Amino acid sequence: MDEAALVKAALLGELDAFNRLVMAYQDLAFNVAFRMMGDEDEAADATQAAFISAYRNLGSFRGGSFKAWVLRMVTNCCYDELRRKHRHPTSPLEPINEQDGEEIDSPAWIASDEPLPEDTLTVIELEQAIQHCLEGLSAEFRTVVVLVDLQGLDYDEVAQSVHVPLGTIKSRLARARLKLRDCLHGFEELLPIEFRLEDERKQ
Amino acid sequence: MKNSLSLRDLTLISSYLDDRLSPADKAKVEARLNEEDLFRTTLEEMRSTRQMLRSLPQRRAPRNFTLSPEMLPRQHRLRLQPVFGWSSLAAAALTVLIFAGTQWLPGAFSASRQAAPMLAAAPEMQSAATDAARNGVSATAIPPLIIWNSQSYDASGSNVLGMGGGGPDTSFAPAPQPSEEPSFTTKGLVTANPDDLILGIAPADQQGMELTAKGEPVTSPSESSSAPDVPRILEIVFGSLTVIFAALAVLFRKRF
Repeated sequence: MDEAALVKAALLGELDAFNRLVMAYQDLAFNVAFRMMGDEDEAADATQAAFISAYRNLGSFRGGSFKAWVLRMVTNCCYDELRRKHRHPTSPLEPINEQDGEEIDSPAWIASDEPLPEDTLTVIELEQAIQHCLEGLSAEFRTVVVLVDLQGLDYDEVAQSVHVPLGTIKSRLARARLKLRDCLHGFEELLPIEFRLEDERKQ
Repeated sequence: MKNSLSLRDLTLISSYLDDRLSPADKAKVEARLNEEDLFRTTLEEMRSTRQMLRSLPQRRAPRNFTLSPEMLPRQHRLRLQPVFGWSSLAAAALTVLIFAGTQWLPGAFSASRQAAPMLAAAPEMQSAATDAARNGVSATAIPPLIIWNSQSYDASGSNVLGMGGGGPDTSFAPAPQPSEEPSFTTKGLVTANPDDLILGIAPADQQGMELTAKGEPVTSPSESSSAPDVPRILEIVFGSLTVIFAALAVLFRKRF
């Protein structure tokens, strides 16, 4: 499939050409939407809205990674949906660092008054545990770790998709991985031996 | 897990894991990995987390998300609205320009109209001069005398000459008097130079009026000037287009 030719034909109004692009990217788009939304139906709605938005705004594609451009449509639709459902608070959980505009980490973030996961859920599959921890991240951090670690995108593609500087992508990814690791520590028993913390492995 | 590493250190470790460091930064990280246990432990924990995330299965899309024309008709129709809007704007701008041109540069537009009848008359005079040469009359022939209240004819008696007012008097049939000097009405033709014409004096009630060759006053512009008022026509055309395109733009905006 010559992606450039399909994009050019789609720009001229050929819906069939655009649908061939949809077929090529819909699995990727749906996976990203699902990891962002945590629900299949909501992910499907966001994916459909994203492709409609992509067709309408095809004129804004200025070359580069079409994959990154499509995923930008997907993440934007997910953000819109999350805001609409009030699942993503508009005010930050943590105070903002005035220098880089990012949330300030504090040990209090890790401590939680909620019951430990193993007390609430007797049996949790690994995927559900990871999804649970993903949904504990802010939308911006979740987007970066989903695109890089789950979908294998390059840093530059993610920067183009999310429209933030490369340095911000790197810092958000580092902090997201650390928070995920801390969250998954509560599901230690569910984790395969190779994924457990080194000191537990030694035990 | 509590970590005393700074955000910069964590970012370096994460980027090192993805091989996204410059050679200089990579060397620094590797040096610290050899020296600091916390640095090494954090790297391993990030590596295991990334591996865990990558182990998640990729889901297939539950259905096709291809688009159908029914999903997009509003969008296609909406694209016409800006076209009509911009067309209306362009037509309005042209109307204003033409109107401004007629107001600030009236000479440019009126001179072209005034020159038209003179230019239209020149070919007629040219053809008359050609006829004169064909009939053997020299250019120095006595110019015709335009008699008021009467038509003047050339030597053939059929071609009407000059201006003078009044209706045609078909009863008058000028004929040359052999014993007299040639009458101005029978000899000579219209020359190419209009200054040679001798005009009669108009009656008081027709002083200052523009008259046709038959002596009738000019009542409409079309009788005295055959050139169309081009700027006015353009103003009407572009003004109409402005209204039409604006109406279409509003119609498409409301309906679609």
